[in-house]
Amino acid sequence: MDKPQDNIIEIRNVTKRFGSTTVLSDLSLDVRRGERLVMLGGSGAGKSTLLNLMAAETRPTEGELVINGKNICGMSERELDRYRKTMGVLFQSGALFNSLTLAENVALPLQEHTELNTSTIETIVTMKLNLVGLLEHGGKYPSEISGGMKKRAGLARALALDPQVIFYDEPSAGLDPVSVTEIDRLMVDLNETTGVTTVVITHEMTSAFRIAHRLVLLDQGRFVADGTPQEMKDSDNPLVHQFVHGLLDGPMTDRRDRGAYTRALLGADD
Amino acid sequence: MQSIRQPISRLGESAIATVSFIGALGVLIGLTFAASPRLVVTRRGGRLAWKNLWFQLYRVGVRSIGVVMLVTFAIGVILSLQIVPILDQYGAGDQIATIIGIAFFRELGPLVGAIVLTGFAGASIAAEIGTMAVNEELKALRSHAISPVRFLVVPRVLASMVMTTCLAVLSSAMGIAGGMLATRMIIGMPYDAYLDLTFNSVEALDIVTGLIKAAVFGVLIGALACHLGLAVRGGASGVGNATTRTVVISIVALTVVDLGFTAVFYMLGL
Repeated sequence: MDKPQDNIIEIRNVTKRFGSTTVLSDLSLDVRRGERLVMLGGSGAGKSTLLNLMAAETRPTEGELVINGKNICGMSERELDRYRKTMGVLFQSGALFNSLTLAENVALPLQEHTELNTSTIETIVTMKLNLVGLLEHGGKYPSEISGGMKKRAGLARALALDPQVIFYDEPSAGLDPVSVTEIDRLMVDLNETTGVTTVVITHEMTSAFRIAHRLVLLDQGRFVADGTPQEMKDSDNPLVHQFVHGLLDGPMTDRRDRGAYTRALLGADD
Repeated sequence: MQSIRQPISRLGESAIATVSFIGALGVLIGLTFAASPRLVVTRRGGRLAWKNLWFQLYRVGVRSIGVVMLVTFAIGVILSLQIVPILDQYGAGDQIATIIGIAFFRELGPLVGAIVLTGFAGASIAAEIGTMAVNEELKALRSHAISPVRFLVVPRVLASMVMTTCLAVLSSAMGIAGGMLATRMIIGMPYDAYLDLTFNSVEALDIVTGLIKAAVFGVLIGALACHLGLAVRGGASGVGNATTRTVVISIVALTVVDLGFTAVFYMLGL
């Protein structure tokens, strides 16, 4: 077992409910410092909720979420803000502020949280934009650039405060295959050059295998598999096998069909 | 029994929803004023806050000036055209200066300015913040430990407060100008005589109460638009819904608060 200091995030028996719906059920997971962890799962499996928990966007109903040795569940908003400054999130759409240029977007966290003067901020912004290959586009507005560039700009902003961990929410969603490869390469390069812990949510298998040191599969709010890319490919767990190979036949589709049939029988389906 | 219970239960539900809405709005206004001092006392965050505030002052107020001037000038002319012939029958046609002066400084200036601002700025603020919510920009702000209240709500509410106050003065002046012009055309009252009568009858208290009202209206418009914008869920239809609700609720709220102010000032003999 890893020593606690080797784990940047420790999820301990976390349950998350929204009303009477349980989205995550008694989850436990360690994210090791510096690793590239890919979280897989079908739609509605609870991946985004788990990401929201780790990004301190929401709190668990039960269980503990330990970041850098500190349980963040009982923290005040002010304490949580200190944690938030140590992590970056790349949202599915890039989530750039449309009223600001790319350079202003990247500068925003620095202007808000540091006492740095304008020229130092400009230098850091230039470095971050260069890191994601957008140096010459700093003066453009988000509406003037492509989807792939938006994600790269979002990544530059997430990197602004030199985070210890970056969460990527479906980074390949809506991108062409070349842009997907570019983003994947960027994630791996950043991880290798800066050592930043990388947590990726995706259901793009090619991408997942290209990025991951380790993969976990989430299904119905529980982890059902955890292993290296090779272990996942070779897994004889029918659920993992179906998901990894994108098969039509398997426990996921069986369950969906049965559920629909039961609802139709009970008249609950509109 | 069921037929009696249902409307009572619905009435109860809407009463609870209204009270919760007013409570949440009150909390937002409280948080806004608690976060406002950072605008002037800190360098961090303050830099952007000032920039945001100037931009919002321009967007909220400056762009509304033309419409407010036109509307209040027209109301001044209409009031004069309707009332002067009646007053003139009693030989008191010149008293229109007193009526329009007091009516505009105490009531119409602040109220009409605020209503125009609701259509102009309130709707646009709600749509802007609502779109940000849909585009994950609010989540992105929180993930960077930047409070949406401080970053988005404070500059908009303060700008709205300042600009409704300025617009109240401008609309009162335009209303008086409209009345003056129409009165000159109807009964040939000289401009200087009209102005003398206006400023002899309007007291400092009339102007102060009007300005207090205008400032409160401004806070109300800004906070309502931000509150409804921040609460947007469900994509484009959610944004449209928030925009419509902002205009409708703001106009109702402005009228009710104006009634409350007038009643209180009347009882206090102000």
